[in-house]
Amino acid sequence: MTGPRFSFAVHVLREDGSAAGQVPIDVDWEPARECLRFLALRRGRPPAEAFALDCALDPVWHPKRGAPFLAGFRARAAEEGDSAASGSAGTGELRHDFRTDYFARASRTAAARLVAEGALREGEPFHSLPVAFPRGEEPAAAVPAPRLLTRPAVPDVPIRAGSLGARLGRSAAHGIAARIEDVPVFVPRDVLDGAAVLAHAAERKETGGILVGHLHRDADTAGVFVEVTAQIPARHAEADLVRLSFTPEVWTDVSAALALRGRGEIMLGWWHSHPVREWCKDCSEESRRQCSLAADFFSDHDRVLQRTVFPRAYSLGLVVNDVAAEAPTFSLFGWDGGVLRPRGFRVLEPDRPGPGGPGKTEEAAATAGAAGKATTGGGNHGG
Amino acid sequence: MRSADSQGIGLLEVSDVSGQKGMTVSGVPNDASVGELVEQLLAEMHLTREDASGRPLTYQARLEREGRHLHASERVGDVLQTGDRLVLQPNIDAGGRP
Repeated sequence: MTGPRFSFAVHVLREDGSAAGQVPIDVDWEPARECLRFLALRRGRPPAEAFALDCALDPVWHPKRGAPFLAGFRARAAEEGDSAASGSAGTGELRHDFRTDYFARASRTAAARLVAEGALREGEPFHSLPVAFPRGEEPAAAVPAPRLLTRPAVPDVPIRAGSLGARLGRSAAHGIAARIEDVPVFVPRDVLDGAAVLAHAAERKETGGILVGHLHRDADTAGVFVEVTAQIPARHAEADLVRLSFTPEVWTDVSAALALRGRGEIMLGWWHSHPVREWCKDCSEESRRQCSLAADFFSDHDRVLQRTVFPRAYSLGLVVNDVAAEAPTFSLFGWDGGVLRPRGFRVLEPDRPGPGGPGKTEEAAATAGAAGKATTGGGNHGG
Repeated sequence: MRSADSQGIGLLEVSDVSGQKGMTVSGVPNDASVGELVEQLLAEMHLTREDASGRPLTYQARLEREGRHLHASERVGDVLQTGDRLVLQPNIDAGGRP
């Protein structure tokens, strides 16, 4: 489906069903590929194999309208003989079906273009239908530009053995109810508290940092879960009331902090604050209660940052909602079927010393120590 | 990228800021600029090229061996050696009310 096999467009309809136009789109397939790669990891493939997986993408035609209208598409592990021009549907058992909401952003862009061209009025309701067309062979460029010789490197994504049951036993669900297919995510309470303190201290500016931790495979079920162990404040970020810039200095600083910690953690995601109490300070109390900015709000800029820096399907984006007259609240976003959505997580309480002394296991002791170290240092934040 | 120099850089390791996506690169001509190299690497690594407003995202290449960010106008043959490791670091904004 990628490469020369298909080209894509969005067919835009007005509310009365009349056609406003059809706009070609460039589709970002990387989130779909990452979704399939993480599925491979969850099904037991080692990280080096799972994250190097080559994917093939096939159209799923709309059951009533038929081709060229899409009901979605299917990503599957590429098989021998697959080529961009083969058109093979394949029957690989590792596959995932994506819905048309994968094209939502491209649809909005297409509608904006039709508004600019006068084919659709500003604010006019519309429906969009993604379509795909087989693409003919394209002539080769007359003088091909010299290209780099590149090869994907084995990604540095370690996965540790760990006990899901032990963590479930000392954690509580937070936010949106988890679905059976969701990968469990644990965030220590100390990490949340530390981020909340930084968010409140930043007052009229956004602030943020990087979430670090581990991927684990449960010893009993072989299921994969994610555990945040610390947040590293983005000390060199530039910030104002509605913006937080992660500069190259931020990434260098965080990499150095990770190396100094020496716990084998990886960057699992990021967090940032929304100073809602400042955004909404002139609003009525009623407006504040109903404000869509107060919870589960991820801006277009936030989405681009997540896609740019944290495209892996297990990556996380945490928002600290610094709301007026209440304690800060937390919204977690993650990839779901190649699309960013709010999701639930579990708040992990500190591991309490058992009768035999501090720390039940070596792993648990290391994890608790990491969380404590990250939040007691506090105070350094962007802006 | 300009015409290949047969004495180009043998092999580079390149990664994103998370260290979770990377590639090895060979055949980088000595007379290419760092900016040209970065442009090609962004495409090869499927890294985002535009921000939410459609403006180009800027990336800096950090050369681990020297612990510094390379300037886009520097010449590959002057600053890189076979075996070097580069990290592509975006300057990217979050936030923004709708």
